[in-house]
Amino acid sequence: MCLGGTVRNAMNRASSAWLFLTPALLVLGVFFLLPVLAGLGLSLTDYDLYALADIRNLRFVGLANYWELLHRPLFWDALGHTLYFVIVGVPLSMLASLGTALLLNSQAAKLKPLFRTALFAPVVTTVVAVAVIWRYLFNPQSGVVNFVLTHLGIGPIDWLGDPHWAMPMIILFAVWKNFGYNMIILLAGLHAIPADLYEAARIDGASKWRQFRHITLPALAPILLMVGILTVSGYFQLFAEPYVITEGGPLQSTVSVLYLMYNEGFKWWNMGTASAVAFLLFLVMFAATALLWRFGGGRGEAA
Amino acid sequence: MNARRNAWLVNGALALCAALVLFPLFWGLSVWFMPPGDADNLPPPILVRQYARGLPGELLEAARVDGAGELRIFVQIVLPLLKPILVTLAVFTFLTAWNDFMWPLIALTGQQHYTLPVGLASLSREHVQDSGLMMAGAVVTVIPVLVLFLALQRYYLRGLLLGSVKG
Repeated sequence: MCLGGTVRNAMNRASSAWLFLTPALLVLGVFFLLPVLAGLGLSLTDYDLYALADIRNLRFVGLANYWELLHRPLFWDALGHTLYFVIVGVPLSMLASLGTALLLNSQAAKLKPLFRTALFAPVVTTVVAVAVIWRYLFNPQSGVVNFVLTHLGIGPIDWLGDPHWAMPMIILFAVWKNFGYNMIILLAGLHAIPADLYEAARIDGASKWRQFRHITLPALAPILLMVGILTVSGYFQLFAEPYVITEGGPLQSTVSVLYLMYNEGFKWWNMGTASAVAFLLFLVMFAATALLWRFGGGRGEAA
Repeated sequence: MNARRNAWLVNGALALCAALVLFPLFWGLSVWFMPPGDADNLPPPILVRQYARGLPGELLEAARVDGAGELRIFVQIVLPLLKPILVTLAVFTFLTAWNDFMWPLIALTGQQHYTLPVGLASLSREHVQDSGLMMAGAVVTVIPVLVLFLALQRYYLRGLLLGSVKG
């Protein structure tokens, strides 16, 4: 009888747990799982303008969309541009976040709340609006950036018209817009490091650099890894910046994977191809974050 | 002596960074001096749960001992205690919705439904030369979120940290 009571109790707990979870699961199912499955299904069809007009035109094409994409140079170009953006932009962004967090955490720093607010401000702004401002700053003829560069003796750079300079400008924009977010998280991580560790190191005669290398970095390692993974997956989804600043140009040098997906799906209405692009991007992002996790996790254990 | 030099270095570097970061924002404000016609986290339930876990359980126990029902405990005790995190959530949700770009761009079919970012983007692809108009659009779009952030940044930053550092 005692045993029966325990079993009934456990069943009661389980059923009330399911009761509380049901709304969240329903929302997740309808707004996340279902669209993902529909997208996967769509990527195996030739859903386009003709199917939009009459659903009877819809045909199942298997992996043909993927096959066609993998043989299209523009897809590989877009993937290359996106990887360029991630590989250069993420480390720059992390360095800016870590550098400003260290400065703000320094005992010598004054007016900390003011500086913190100022450095964080770009994060809350609207991408499109500040991208519009950015485009005028970097205008090759009348922009302030070229005005300053010319006075410094560095020739005017055609930021918007030269395929070699358009992506660096977009990377600069993304770093400026996003570094404040990670800065706040790293700052909280720095606050959590006990002060006596530094004091002990100082007594042992460790230099500032060695204190940073052997106390600050190991203590921040888990936060750096998490922030890094979030930044990588965010940067892979580059879209609004090239859409507003360069419109994918010049010479398609700033077409990202998501930009290609948008053009395929919502400009040409090739929804099947667009869904396939989305799943290929998902695979690339999954592989990149899994690699980062393994690499970072292994190092974290060693430290 | 060394400490003073260090203070100068740190604060100088901070001031330089802040100036560089703020420059584009202030540049946008230069629209006021231009003659007219001149050439985007954490899901909300987890955020609230993280915060609610920190509430003292004794409070709830005391209310139960006093004979309060579960609904009454929630309305009269838990909800008032959750007020700060609900403000955080409201600020977060507002900023995210206001700044959202890709989803409204895809989902909105007519100009009469455009949000500010979508309208600004479509303007900027059509009227690149009219910098006064574009800058005005940018300022109108950015000012509300900046003001909201400046007024409620305590709540915003807490939400950011609750969602990320505590694991």
